[in-house]
Amino acid sequence: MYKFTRRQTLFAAAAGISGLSGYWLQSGESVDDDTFRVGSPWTPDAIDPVANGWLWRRLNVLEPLLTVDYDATVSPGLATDWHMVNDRTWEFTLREGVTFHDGTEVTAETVLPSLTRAFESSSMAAVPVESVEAAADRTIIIQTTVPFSPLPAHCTRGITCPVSPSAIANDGSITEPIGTGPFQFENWEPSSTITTTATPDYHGSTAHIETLIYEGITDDQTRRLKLENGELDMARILPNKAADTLASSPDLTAHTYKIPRARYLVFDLDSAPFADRKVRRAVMYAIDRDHIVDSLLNGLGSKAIGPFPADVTEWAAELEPYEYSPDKARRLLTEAGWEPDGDTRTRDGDTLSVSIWTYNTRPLLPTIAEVIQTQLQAVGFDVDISVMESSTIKEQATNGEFDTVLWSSSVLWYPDPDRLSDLVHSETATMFSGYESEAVDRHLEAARRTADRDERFERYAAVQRRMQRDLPLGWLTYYANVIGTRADVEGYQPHPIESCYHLEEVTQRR
Amino acid sequence: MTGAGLCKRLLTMAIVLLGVSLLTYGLVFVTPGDPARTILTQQMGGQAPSQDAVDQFRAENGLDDPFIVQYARWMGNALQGDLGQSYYSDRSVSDMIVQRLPNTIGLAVASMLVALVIALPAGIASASNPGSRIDYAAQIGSLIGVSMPNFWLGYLLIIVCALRLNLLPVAGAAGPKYLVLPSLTLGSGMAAVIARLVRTAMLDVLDDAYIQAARSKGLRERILVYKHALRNALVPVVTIIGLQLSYVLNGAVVIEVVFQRPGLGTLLVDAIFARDYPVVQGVTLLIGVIFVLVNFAVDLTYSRLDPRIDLGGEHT
Repeated sequence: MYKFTRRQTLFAAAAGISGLSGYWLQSGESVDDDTFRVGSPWTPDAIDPVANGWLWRRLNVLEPLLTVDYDATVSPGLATDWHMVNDRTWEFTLREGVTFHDGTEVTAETVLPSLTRAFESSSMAAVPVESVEAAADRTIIIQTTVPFSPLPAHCTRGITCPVSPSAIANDGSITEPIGTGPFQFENWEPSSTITTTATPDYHGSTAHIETLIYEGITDDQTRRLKLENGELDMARILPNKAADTLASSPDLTAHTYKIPRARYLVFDLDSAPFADRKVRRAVMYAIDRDHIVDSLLNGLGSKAIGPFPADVTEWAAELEPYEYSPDKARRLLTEAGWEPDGDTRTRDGDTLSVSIWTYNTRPLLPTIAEVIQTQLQAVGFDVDISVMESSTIKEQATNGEFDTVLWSSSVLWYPDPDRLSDLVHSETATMFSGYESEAVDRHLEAARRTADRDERFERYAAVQRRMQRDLPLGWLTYYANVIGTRADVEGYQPHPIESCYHLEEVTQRR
Repeated sequence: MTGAGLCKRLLTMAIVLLGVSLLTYGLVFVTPGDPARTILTQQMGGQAPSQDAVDQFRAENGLDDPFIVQYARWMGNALQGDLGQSYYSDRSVSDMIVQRLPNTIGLAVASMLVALVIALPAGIASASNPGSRIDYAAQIGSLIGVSMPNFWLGYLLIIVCALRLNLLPVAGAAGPKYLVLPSLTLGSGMAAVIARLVRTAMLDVLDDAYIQAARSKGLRERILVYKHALRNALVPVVTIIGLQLSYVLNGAVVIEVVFQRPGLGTLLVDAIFARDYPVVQGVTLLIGVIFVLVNFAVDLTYSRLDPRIDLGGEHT
C-alpha cells in the first residue's frame, strides 16, 4: 500500500503542476493601456524621505521647495521666490493654491515639520541649518549657523521634500509619502514596486499617464529583457552596449545623454610616489582618455578635463587639459628622479610601483583600471590592481596610506559647485587625497559666504584651476546614461542630474 | 524520540544558534566598512556623507558602543522577539523578513519539486539499466546541469521561454507563473546533483544480497526497484536534499537578482554590503533556525526510512 501512496502522490503532484502551469501559461499579462512601468536599479526600501526621498522625488510624488531645471540650475518648486535676507537668513515664499495629496493646504505651518525633520537628520548634518521657522502664512525663514550660500541648492534634495503633517506619526516616523507632486502614492510592495496614480487636481499640468508603476530591478540585463518583452515601458541605466541594440529595434528607443558624473583617480598626496606632483602629472599625460571613451564606453560619455562637464553645467571653468603624451610623462618621471631600469623605473633603489584600488559595483571601473595599468606600464610604472568593496576602500584610504583609487561619483548631485568642498577642502572633504591648500580653502569658504553669482563663479573657477595644477584628483571621463523606452513613448526629456524623471510629461500612443 | 532526547536536541540547537549569531555579529563587526558611512551613502542616493553626518548617525544608532555592548543589546531584544529596525529604512526587521520569506520558501519548494521530479526518475532509470543509453543520457544531462552557471541558464530560459516563445514573463514576483523560470533554473542544477546520487545509491543497494535473494525469488523488477531498493537508497539522498537547502539559499541570491524576486538571499547580501547589522543578524538567525530544523527533519526522516537509526535518548 505504501508504495502506491507514494507513487500516487508523485503522479498527483506532476499532474497538478502541469495542470496549474497550463493555467498560468494561458493567463497572459493583460496590457493596461493607462499604466506606465518604469524600471530602475534601486529597489524601494523605505517610505521615509529621510531614508530615500531621492526616489520619491524622482517619481515626482514628492516636491521640494526648489527644483533643478534642465540646465542644472536651481528653479522654483513649492517656493516661488527665495532670497538671502542677511548673510545667515534665507526667506522662502510658498506657492499659492497648492495642496498635499490628502487635501491639506501647503502653508508654512504644514511644511515646517517635514523641513525640521529633514534638517535634523544625519544626511543633512553638513548643512549648517540652525532653525526653520514659519514667519507668515506662506513665508519660511531658514537661519544658518554660518553664512551658507549653497542652501537653496540643498533645498532641491529629495530629503527636504515636505510631506503632509498627517503622514507624520506621533513617534516621528512617516506612514505614507503624501506629497504634492503630479503623481500620488497608491501602494507599494517593499523592495519591489511602487504604484502611483496621476494627481487629479495637481497645481501644475496634470500627468498624461494615469497609473505609474516603479519597479526596482537590480540586474541591468533583466531590465533590458523586460523592456524588450513589453513588461516595462522605460528601463533606466542600461549598459552602454545596449544603446546599439535598442536603436536597431523598431519597438524600442534609446535615449543617451551626458550626466555630471565622473570617473577619476584620487591620489594619496601623503605617500610616495604620488606625493610628488610631477609623478601625478606624468600619470595624467600617460593616460589616453579618448581610447577609454571609444573602446570601453562605446563612444558614450566623454573625456573629462576638470570636475564639471561644460556642456551640462555653467560652473565649469576653462582649464588647461592634460593631453595624452607618453613622452611628456616619461620626461616628467625622469625629472622626478625615476630613471628607466629595464621595463620599469627606479629611484634610490626603489621601483616605481603603484597599486590602483577600485570597486566593481559601478560597471567598467575594473576594466578601465586595466587599461590605465597598460598605459602606465608603457611609461615605466609597475602597476597592480586591487578590486575591493567601495566602503572598504573609503575606510582604508581615509585612515591609511594608498597610492591611487579609481573612483566614480556625481560631481553635481545638488546643483551647486560647493560640491568642490567635498572633494578638496582640507578639513571637510569626504575624498581622501589628503590635499591641503590654504588658497583653495579660502576660496571655498568665501564662496559660501556670498550670494553674488559672479563672485562665486570666479572663486570656484580659481579652485578648479588650482585643482588642475596640483592634481589631488585626476579627471578621466564623464558618464552618459542609456535609457531605453518602448518606441510609442513620447515626450520624455532626460534630466541632467536626474533629480526627477518628470514622467508626468510623457505620453504613450497605443 | 524520547522526551530527554528532544530536550538534549533543543539545547544543542539553542547553543548552535547562539554561536551563529555571535559569529556573524563578530564577523560583520570586524569587516572593514563603517555602517554609518555605507548607510548614509545609500540614503543620500550614492553620495559620500560628511564626517558630521557619520558622527551623528553613529551616535543615534549606538554604534560607538563596544562590540559586546552592542551585541548584548541586540541579543536582549532578540530574546524578547524584537529583531530591531533596519538602519537604512527604519522598517522592522521582522516585517522585512515576513515580507520576503514567502518568495524564498516558494522558490525553495518549487525548485526542490522540479529537482525531485527530474532527479528521481532519471537516477532510478540509470541505475536500473546501467551502461544503457538512458544511463548515458542521464549522466551527460547531470554533468551539464552541474556545470551550467545559474545566471546563464536563467538568461537562456528568459530568452527562449519569454522573449521567443512568449510563454512566460521575464521577471517579477507577482504570481505563480513568475515562479516557473526561476524554479526551473535553480531546480535543474539541484536535479543534476541528486540524480547522480540516486544512481550511485541505487546501484549500491541493487548489488546487495537481499536484492539478489528477492530477484531469485522471482519478484517483479518494478516491485524490486521501487519497494525494496529505492527505500534503502533514499537515506543518503535525503541527507543531500537537506544539504541542498544551502544550495537553494546560495543560488537564490543569483536567481533573485536575475528574476527580480525580493527574497531572503538578496536581503542578506544587500544588508551585508550596507553593513545593516540588525538585518544581517535577523536573517542569519532565521537561516540558522531553518538549517537546524531541516537537519532535525532529515534525522527524523532517517529513522522512518531505516528504523535501525536511533536518534539518541536511551540507547538499548
